[in-house]
Amino acid sequence: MHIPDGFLNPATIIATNAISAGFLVPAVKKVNRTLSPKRVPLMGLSAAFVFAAQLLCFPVFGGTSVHLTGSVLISVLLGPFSGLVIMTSVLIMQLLIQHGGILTLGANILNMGVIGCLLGYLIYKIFRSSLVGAFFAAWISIILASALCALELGISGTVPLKTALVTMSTAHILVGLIEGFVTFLILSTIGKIRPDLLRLEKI
Amino acid sequence: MRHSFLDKYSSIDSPIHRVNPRIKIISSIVFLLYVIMFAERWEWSYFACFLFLLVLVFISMVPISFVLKRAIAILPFLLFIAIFIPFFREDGIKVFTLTLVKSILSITTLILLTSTTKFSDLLNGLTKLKVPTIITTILSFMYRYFFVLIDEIERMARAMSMRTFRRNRIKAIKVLAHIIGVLFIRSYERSERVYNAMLMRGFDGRIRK
Repeated sequence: MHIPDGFLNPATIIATNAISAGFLVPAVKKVNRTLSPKRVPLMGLSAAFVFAAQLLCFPVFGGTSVHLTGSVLISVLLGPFSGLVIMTSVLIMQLLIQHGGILTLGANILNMGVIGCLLGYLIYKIFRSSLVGAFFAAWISIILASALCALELGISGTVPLKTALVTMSTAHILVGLIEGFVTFLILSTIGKIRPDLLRLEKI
Repeated sequence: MRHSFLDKYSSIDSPIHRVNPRIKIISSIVFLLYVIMFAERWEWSYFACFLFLLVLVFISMVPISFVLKRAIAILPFLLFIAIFIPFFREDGIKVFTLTLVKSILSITTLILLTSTTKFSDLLNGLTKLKVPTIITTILSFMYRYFFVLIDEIERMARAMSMRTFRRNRIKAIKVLAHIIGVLFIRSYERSERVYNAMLMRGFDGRIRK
């Protein structure tokens, strides 16, 4: 779902970067204000964790496979604003290995960070912070992220808007289902072995 | 285990490697802005851009085969998104080519930036350009610990494959999810050890520039 440079038109580039900055700047401020020393290495290791977890492929049908995005997972564990800062760092790292782009960073942060971490966390809270809530949060955020991705590419004229919107979101109903299921399983594994890690401070 | 990361050729000594990282970052972004937003007005300018990058690659002494390999590795992803363009637009072929040319130029710029700048210098430059220190700190942790975690995954996967006989799809997903869950716990525990080591060396919670 990473949009590379060259696929968005100038208007979309400016709009998505502005929107993402609008969410990211307060998130960074909030994280900085409440940052305990112990959390500095934790955020770093968590970002490395997300980056590594995204490399594991889950088999679906036939030969196809999907990988985790992890934005709902990380915000459920560490909180929405920490999650957004971590996902942003992951996306910057990925653009440095030519996965994504510099000017499209805003769009990618919007799709995978803002939707997954902030909106996802909100959905998780609506379900009273239950594991089932994490499942729905991950599922819905993946569908929304793919729809937004199709919208950005469609407005830029690099994919047919209507068709892309329909096919992308339909395909991601299944992909999101796996993201939700896996997020649920990961959280319950952590809950079984170290239940205290599910109650870390949520920033 | 030996892993090669993004700044593989960054320790070469060349005029490009010696340029201040801040200047390299800013000029890369300006170059990208030009390629993506303005170069369309005069199509020959894309050739000029390619030539310009090619000259820079030669000066930097980064093997051209390395740059090409990296760029070609990304091509399937680009084609996957761009493939629809010729089918729904009247000027499809032209837009298709332009999109690909723009992407490849951007990717080559990024490859050049990351393979001529040490990662620590890049982070230093980003910090001086007012990128929040929390983000550059996280990036430096990722650079240091990513491969440690990959090794951790490999060990777990090896242990798992030695103990399991046959697996179906749902089982495979469950096992992978379990590995990721344990990976988070190990990352957390490692962060505690790292924190203690940092404390010993005088870390007081402030991230210095």
